[in-house]
Amino acid sequence: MALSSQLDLYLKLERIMIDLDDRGEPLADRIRDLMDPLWFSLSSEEHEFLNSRGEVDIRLFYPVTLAVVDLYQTPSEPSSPPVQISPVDGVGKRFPLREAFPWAA
Amino acid sequence: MGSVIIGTNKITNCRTLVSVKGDPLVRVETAPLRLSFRLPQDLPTGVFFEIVENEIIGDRPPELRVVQSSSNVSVLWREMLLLSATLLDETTAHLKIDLRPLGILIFDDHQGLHVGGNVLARSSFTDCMTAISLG
Repeated sequence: MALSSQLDLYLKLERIMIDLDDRGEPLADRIRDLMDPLWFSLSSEEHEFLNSRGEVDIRLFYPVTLAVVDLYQTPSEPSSPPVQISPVDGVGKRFPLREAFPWAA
Repeated sequence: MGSVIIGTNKITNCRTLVSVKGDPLVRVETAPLRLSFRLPQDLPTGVFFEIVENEIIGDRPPELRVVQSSSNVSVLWREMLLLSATLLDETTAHLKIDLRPLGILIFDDHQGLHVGGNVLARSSFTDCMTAISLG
């Protein structure tokens, strides 16, 4: 982005303001007041540029990376032949209710 | 009624796949693909809903979604997949099931169909009223 004269002036004043602020000089507030009209004269693109300073997208440096040493395994093979279930009273397999509903009595 | 493959098991010509205390919990029918699911009304979570042939009956909890096409019906709870029935051919459907988000310990994986601590694997059920009965 090209640096406009207004943005250049804003940044210069900002540096002075921060320096004075660091030293506890009350003059920093006066400089800050001078910066306000300059801020409103800047374009939205320049506002975006100024607002984005100091933001670091950590994902750019540390994308999600998982170390999975056992990702690839031997596919499971059927170990036994299929079992034919013969229904009893119309039901193939019965389980106590509490097997799937742990809170059930 | 056709066949339903669920967790390496094959269930053929069974009206109900899983029932709880005698009431049907899950049913899948083919040609066309229809999925029915009815929660027991006494869940400690207080959650209740009923799906009859792909349609939510009565009040629809905001967490519940049913997504369907000609070959798949899926039921999601809070964007987690509970059931997904896929038509493989005219007479065979595959059912993926995981009811753990509802607090019910029934799910399938490559090992088989898990019902609590039990694993039903490579079993063939034929001509049952109910393939798996709980309670």
